[in-house]
Amino acid sequence: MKMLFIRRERRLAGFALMDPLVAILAIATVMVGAINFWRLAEYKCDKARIDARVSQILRESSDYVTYVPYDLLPTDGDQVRSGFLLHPLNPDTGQYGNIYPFSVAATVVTTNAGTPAEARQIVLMLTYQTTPHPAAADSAQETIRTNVLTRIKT
Amino acid sequence: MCLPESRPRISAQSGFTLLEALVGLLLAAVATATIADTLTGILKRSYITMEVIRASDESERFASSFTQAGKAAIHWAVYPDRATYLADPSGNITAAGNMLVFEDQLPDGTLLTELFEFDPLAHTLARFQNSLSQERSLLNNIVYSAGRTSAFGQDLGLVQAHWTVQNNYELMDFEAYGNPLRMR
Repeated sequence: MKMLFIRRERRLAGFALMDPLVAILAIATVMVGAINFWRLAEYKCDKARIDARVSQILRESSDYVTYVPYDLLPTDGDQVRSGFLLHPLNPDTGQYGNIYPFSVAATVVTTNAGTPAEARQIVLMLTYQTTPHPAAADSAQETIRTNVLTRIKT
Repeated sequence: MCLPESRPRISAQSGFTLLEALVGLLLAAVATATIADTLTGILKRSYITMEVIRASDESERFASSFTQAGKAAIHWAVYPDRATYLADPSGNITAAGNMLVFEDQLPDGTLLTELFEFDPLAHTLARFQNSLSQERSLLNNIVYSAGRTSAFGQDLGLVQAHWTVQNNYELMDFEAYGNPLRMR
């Protein structure tokens, strides 16, 4: 009887050490999960904007090279344009920021130079930098090359 | 069973104390608030992204129509603004301005006019067809791109447009190019 009484008293005395530890672990798991979920959502939103902006810059740069007069075409190694991918509004300052720098460079191969049949084969190379989160294995720098754009002088 | 020495045990078996219940509720409230705040943040972020992408897509479509009109045009001209265009379409042509007119000729000989206008006061960029009363598309919250004082211009026959969308979340720069056939 005495042993039984002692056991009941210990059981009724309060939580065991494991009880709050398990509760803390459960809460911590929920918190970490929520934070990671939020970070993933942020990353996906950023990635969507970056992808859209990259497509836009490639379209604009390709249009420029396609329609610019032949004499104004970039030469090999020229930087066609540079800037920042996104300009998000900072609600605290009311100013638009500049994040993720990019540059577009041209690789130009000229054939039949100096003749009426002169032509230039142009490849645009867009290089931009983003944050590597949330996957640390991602590269912070990305490079995209366009297909060859051919312009003929005459 | 009602001996005085057993009262504490009965009390201990009766359930949580008020303080324990309050602490439990507080913890539950903190956890719930954290999750709710996270979900709200995710939804808000998604909404902002959708709004920005919608504005971006509108400008992309505008740029596409600009390029298409430029490619097909047989004549084009830039004017400082609508008033100067209406006053003298042949005499007020300039190298850069806020009014751009493309003229295309269909196979049956019909002339098709595409007009692009930036209004710096209303902050709008509009596209009209055939006349300024037939609006085809309209972009809002438009300002000049950095370093520019006009929306349209030309450089050795390269017709170009530069504009910036300024909304509550992001600043977005756009460019569009077109080169009429006769200039190539």
